[in-house]
Amino acid sequence: MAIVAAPTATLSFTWKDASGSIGHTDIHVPDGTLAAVALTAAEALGALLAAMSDCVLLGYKLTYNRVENAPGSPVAGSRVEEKGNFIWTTADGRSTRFSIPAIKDTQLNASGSVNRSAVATAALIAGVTDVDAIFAGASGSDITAIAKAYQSFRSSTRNELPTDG
Amino acid sequence: MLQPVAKIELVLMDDTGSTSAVIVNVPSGSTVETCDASAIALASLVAPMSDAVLVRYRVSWRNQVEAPGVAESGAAIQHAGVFIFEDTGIGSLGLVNVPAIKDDLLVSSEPGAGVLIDQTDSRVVALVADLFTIEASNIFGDVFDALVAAYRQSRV
Repeated sequence: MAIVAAPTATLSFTWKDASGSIGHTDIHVPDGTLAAVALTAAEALGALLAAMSDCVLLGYKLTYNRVENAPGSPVAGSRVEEKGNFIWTTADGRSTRFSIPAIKDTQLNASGSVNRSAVATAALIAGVTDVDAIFAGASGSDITAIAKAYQSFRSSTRNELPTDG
Repeated sequence: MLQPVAKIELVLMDDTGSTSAVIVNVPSGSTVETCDASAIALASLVAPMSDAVLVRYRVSWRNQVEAPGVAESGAAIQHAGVFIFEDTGIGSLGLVNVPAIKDDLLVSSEPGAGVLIDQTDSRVVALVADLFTIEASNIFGDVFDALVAAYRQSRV
């Protein structure tokens, strides 16, 4: 198992035309390009592209992609719709959340709440709230504590339905 | 305006092949190196909690124009300007697509009137020079060093 970087990072510019339709211009730059350098370049590039288009520029996104080149096998019967939801408080008093797909039953209490004393969950909470960790809320404020954690089930999308049904 | 946070998205796959992501914010001033280290650390914490497996992750920054204005009347994304670039060392091609290319960038005399893009136009020259400066490439990392064709195409 190893994480492999894609050869390029992608600058994706988003445009809107007179009908409200959305289009994109994708520019690839070397993966080794620093984010700060790529974001500065995007400002200049956005202006150059805008001078050539009748659309309006809505914004851009810079993405670095990595692939696990030898992923393990998922546990039989696992479903991403089965979520472990984690709601956190941040240093500015707000909250933020993320969910873990296919949460293991071993991390749950009988009620469906997450067992915060379970070894893996305790490690996650310690890791995310560690003062040296950079995980944050939407404002950029540090995550400082766990507020709630529970299991929930999301409806399956069409692509997630079994194909042999 | 650059959003205050970048996003780390860990993509996990379940037994059916369906995928879903753990999406966590980090400050937008973080370096790619720091984000990579944080993503890998988070993945190691998530792995023992999930029956799904990590298949990929991405780190992204988003910038939104605060007052984008209104598109020109009649602007249509399918009227695209297509720029074909080449890495001449290996003969590999790549494409840059500009939606709703302005009509005044098209040549007005035959051959190619209304179709070919004027490669001597100052806006085109400036774009090409900038792409070369930032070492723009195709998705395989073959770096552009020549513009070989530019024309208008119906493309979404």
